[in-house]
Amino acid sequence: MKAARLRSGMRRVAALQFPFFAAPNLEAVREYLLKQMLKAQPHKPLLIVLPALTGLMPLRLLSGNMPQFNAAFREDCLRYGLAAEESLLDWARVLARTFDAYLVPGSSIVPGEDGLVHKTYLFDPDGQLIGEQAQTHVTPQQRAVGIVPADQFQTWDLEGIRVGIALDADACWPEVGRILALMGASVVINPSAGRLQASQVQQYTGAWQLAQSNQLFVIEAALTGVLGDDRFNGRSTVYAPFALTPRGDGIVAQGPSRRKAAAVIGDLDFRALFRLRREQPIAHRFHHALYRQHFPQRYRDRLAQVQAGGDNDGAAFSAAASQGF
Amino acid sequence: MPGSWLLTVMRRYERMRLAGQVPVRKIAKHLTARLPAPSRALRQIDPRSVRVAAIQWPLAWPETVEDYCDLLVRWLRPALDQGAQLVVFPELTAMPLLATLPKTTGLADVTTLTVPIDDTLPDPALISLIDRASAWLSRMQHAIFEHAARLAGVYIQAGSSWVPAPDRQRVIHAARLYGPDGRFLLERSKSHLAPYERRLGIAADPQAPVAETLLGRIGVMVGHDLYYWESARILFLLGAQLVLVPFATVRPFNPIQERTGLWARVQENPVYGIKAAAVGHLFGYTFQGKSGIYGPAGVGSVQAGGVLASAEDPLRPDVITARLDLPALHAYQRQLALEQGFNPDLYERYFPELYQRLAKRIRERRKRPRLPQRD
Repeated sequence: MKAARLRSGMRRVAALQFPFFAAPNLEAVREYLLKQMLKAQPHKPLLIVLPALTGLMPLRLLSGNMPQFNAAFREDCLRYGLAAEESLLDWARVLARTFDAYLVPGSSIVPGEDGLVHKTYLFDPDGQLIGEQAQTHVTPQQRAVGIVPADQFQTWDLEGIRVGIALDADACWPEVGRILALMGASVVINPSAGRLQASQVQQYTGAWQLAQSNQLFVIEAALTGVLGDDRFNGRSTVYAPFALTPRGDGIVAQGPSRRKAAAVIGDLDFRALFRLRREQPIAHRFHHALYRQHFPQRYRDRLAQVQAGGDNDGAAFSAAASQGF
Repeated sequence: MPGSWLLTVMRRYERMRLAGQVPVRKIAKHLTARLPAPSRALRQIDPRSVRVAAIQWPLAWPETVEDYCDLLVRWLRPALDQGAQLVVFPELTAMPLLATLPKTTGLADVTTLTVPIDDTLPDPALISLIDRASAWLSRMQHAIFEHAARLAGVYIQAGSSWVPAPDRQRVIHAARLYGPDGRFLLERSKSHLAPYERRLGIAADPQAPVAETLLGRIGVMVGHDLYYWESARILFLLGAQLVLVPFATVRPFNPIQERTGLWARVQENPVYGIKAAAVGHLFGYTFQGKSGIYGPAGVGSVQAGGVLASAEDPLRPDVITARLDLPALHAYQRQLALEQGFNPDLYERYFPELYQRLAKRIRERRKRPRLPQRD
């Protein structure tokens, strides 16, 4: 299947959204993923992105336990994580070749050197694994089960388009978007398993904000439905700088609703993106001396202060309340 | 070379001579008559209810410094009447004072500009004006706002102005904070300058002070700094709880773009943000609002949308106020534990080197001859 012929400078991408599937066996998981990808097939995208935590579907079968972020889950990942990853990668190789598209097949949680690692993968249309990216900013829930952050990013060239990956909660950290943009990415891929949040905040933070702050396209493929005690907001979206979108809202294409499985198809206009970057170059306003002065040391200073219990706001407020001027 | 040294000395002398012509006593007397009694707002401070105000101030050329002071008081008073303990003015608040420059200076008259200042650059007369008048402007702003803050008895963020840098070699675009006793608490330089500011020779200083006040720890960003997450992150890392932003833009108000500014910064960093936007006309531009007061959506006292107050009309002057709950902010900060999510190893790998590499690429690109663009 060749990628769709679009206007020069445009590329089509697909972000799938679907619920976690508690399948009866591994073959059923493979068929489920195939069925989801078939929704994207008529559109012939260059790149297909699956939601995060797809690797937990084979993990569940291997461990016999429904994944929940607790101590048992940690043990299951340590014991079966690599095998579950192997299944996911095997399917991904075949799916990428079958659909003749670059594929990000979701993510797995596997044992690493210092703990568990949440990571995703990038396959080329020949089914070759060309890259991996681990999550660099883990949530408290993830930390509690032993997931440790990675400290490195990569970017890849997909037929002239430089892409980076921000896995799951990484999209909520402005540092991540900036690093990937400075590394030359024009597209950031975000397999996500976002939790339900206040809608207005959710709409304009995370992947949306990443696209606006860095003049990037962001492809968010979101897990939907329920997994154990967690509910996922599952609205896959393709984002762009708001000036490039038809309604001026920063959304190129978006999934139908939070519970439905769907393929969200977005056409990325790179000519328009590069024109925007030329006409409104955000990098020309960067204050390099400021960043040099404060980054990265201020992060360590703040962390040290908090860990030392030096944040005395509670006492300060009592003092302020008793004073006047 | 002796010639250039002499030139430097002469310029410095001219700046000092001009700065010495600031009518400090006249300003003090005029403001004292208009602010006869200080506000009682700071007599009792309840950290659960810190009252802040943002003035959506109309920029316009005054005839005299007294006219300017009258306009200031006219927009300060509603904030004081509503019990504000901290008042924020917009970007460029002090710039209209250029219309009251002594006429004998022979410097360019910016009040006669009918086209945007950007279209006139590089204009040597304008650049000379900024260079020669910055010290005078700095003293004027200081005289006015120092007295206003003391007479009103509140904290005042005095908008921003082009003032000499601490090293006295350059001019920066800076915002100042004054305490209720008139004390000068901090000065913050705009970090992310507009292209026309660079062409005017304005520089940026990398210091990012945070002032410890009775209302909490206060940091300031200026203008378009609010679109760059780095500015707000640095202030959060330095302990700021309130981030004040004097702001001015000529772009028509866009509610979507609004979500990429200070509102976004206070969702990324658990702090309160107060933005005062300019309206009116100056330097050939028409400025538009909106002013806003924002909090992290996870703070119990903040509405789900994270907007505590917002001006109604982006084109009209306004005063907006809100109450900030600092203990609730602190509780949210502890609950969020943002610091635990930091990845210093990652940042050390990439910061500041990636920025520096980009800066080098930009410099090299500027040196290369430009090819015509094809669409």
